[in-house]
Amino acid sequence: MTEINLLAKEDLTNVNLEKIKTKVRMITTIFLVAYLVIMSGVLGWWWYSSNNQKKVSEELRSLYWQVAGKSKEDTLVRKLDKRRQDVTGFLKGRGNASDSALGMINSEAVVDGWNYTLGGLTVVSVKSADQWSISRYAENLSQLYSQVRFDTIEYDGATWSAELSLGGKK
Amino acid sequence: MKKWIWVGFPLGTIAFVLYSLMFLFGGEGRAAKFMEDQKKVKDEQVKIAVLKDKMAVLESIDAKKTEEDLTAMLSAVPASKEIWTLIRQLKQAGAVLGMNVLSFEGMAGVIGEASESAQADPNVVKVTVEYSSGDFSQVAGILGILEKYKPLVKIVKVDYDKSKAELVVNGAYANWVKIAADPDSPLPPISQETETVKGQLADLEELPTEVIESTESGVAVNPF
Repeated sequence: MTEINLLAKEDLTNVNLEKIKTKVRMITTIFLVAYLVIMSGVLGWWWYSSNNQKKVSEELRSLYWQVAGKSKEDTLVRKLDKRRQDVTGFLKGRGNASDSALGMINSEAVVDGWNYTLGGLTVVSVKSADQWSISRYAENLSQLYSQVRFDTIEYDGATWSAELSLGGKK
Repeated sequence: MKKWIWVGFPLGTIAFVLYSLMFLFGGEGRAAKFMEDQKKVKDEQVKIAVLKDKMAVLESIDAKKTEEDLTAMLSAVPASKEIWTLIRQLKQAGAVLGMNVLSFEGMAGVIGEASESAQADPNVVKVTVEYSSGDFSQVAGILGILEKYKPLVKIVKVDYDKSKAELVVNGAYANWVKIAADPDSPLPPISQETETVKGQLADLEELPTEVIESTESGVAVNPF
């Protein structure tokens, strides 16, 4: 079906223009409202953030004051920690000389000399009436040290004496 | 002219939007400053959390007990070179086992290396002591006694033969280092570690105030 427009050409232009005006107003209004809503949110968030920043800064300042008021305890704890480290370090590094010495004593032989150096080689001189006791003595030491070496072994007709180097305490 | 007045609404809206955007985000780097402020707030919130934890720990600290713990640690590793105490310990240990002290030689430091940079170690109190002849079990006994004393003693070297026993011992010592309260750094965890070390020190003994004197004369007093 054919539509016949009976309006004059100028009126037709006016009608089209009105349609465009209406569309433009509508789009602009929607855009403006959306913009205002979004901006209200942004500004609200901005305002909240600024206030929050002040609040956080004040809280931090107050906490610094509180902690500063406890500086005596703070220093005391740090001093204690440092001294505890000193004690631990000394205890760790001092070895156990008495334990090493006690390890040398057994009924198989008599200790005649002992040279002990912390963290180093230990040399023990022993003597006994028979060679088997010296051997057993060395065997006993091998349970305490990973390296047991005879440096010298002597017999003077009555007594056996030996010098042993010991390393790698187990 | 009146015909185009409707264009003012969209154009005005565009102008308003542009101006407001420029005002809020464009001027003097406001947006950048805002983001920077947000980062600052986050950093401050982290600091607040650290400080709150620290404050809780500080409030739970019993200052008196902490001072007692510090005193206990100081009795094991003193803050000054207690060379006379070390000598008393050596004499006492010898006297208990019936071995006389023949000589002392004390040093406030040791030479670290034979070079230009060699210098006395300020953190060592070193004493060489010579005991009279004795049985090896007596020497072992002396070592056991020395290792039970406070301040702590480190036996560095022992030379024993039938004629004498020579010991090189280091006395524990650690100078005070300057420690100040630091509000920004968290406190070191002390309770558990302190109890462990206190347990290790529990078996140790203070040197008796009255030292057992050797019955024999001729004990050489330290020559330094």
